[in-house]
Amino acid sequence: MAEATLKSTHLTEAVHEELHWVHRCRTGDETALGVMIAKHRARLIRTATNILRDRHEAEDVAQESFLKAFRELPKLRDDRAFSGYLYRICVRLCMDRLRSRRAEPQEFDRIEPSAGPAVENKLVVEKLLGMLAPDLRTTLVLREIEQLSYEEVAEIMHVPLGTVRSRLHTARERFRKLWIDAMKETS
Amino acid sequence: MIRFGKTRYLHLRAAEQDRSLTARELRFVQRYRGRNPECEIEDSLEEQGLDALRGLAVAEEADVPSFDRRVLRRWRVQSVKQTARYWTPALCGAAVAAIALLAMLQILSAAQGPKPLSTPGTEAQRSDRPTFPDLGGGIDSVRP
Repeated sequence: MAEATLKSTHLTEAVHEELHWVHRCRTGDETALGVMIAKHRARLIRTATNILRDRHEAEDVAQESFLKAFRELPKLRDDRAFSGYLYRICVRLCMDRLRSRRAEPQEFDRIEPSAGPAVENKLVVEKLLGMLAPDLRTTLVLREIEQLSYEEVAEIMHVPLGTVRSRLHTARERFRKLWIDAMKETS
Repeated sequence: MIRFGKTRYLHLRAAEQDRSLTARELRFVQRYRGRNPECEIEDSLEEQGLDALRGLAVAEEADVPSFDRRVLRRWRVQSVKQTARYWTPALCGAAVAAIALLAMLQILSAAQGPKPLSTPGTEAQRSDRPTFPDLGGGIDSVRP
């Protein structure tokens, strides 16, 4: 009970602190901007890397996300929604990048046999992810890699819960088929 | 071969990803797999694929020392670009260029203006002769 109360107090403090910094960000205070960047940077880069599978591109997207979020801060009605808003911008920018990527033919026979099964599987999975549509890929990554709940995925992708369910089902089915085909091809 | 209960099996297999199945559902899945060994092989392959996918997670802390500085620098550039002071020199330059262009066009059009009509024989001249045709006898001869 006491632990729950303590946790709740910490949560409230964190929310108040976030509100304070967002409020200062609205005035263009660079210290506040720096605090917000330091606070959300790691999560944003990690998510973008998981979706894009490219660290440098992920950093670029994270930077753009911060700039866009700060620029559009006056449009944000509720300061409490800032982190979700930032995360949503990042995911949307990642999807834009995925859409603009040129579709390349996938080959599985280039993997070095000496690389080991774990590395081999990793490369195959990365290639398979590249073969999925951006919407399906992002949903699958957010759920399976980022371990977000259906509700969180729906909020971030700005789609209804039912859409998340159906996209996830389709993505898993496609991934399953591609994976089985790839395994048959490599063996 | 027709597989009875395939739809339910596929549904439960998808549900298995998000929740733990009840004892009854588990019994059904195991029975179905027992009856269809190829399904079991495919399922284990799929599980292997999903495990590999989950293994892709970037776990380490993204420590980028210059990241904050770069974002703040870009933020400053972006803020400056939104001010009128940033655009004033460009706007003044554009205005001067537009005035110069207009002046040049004016000078050119004045130099290449329409030529005066001075070709011999084309000027309008006053004639000494009557311009009306002679009807013979004039107007007075018509009167009684």
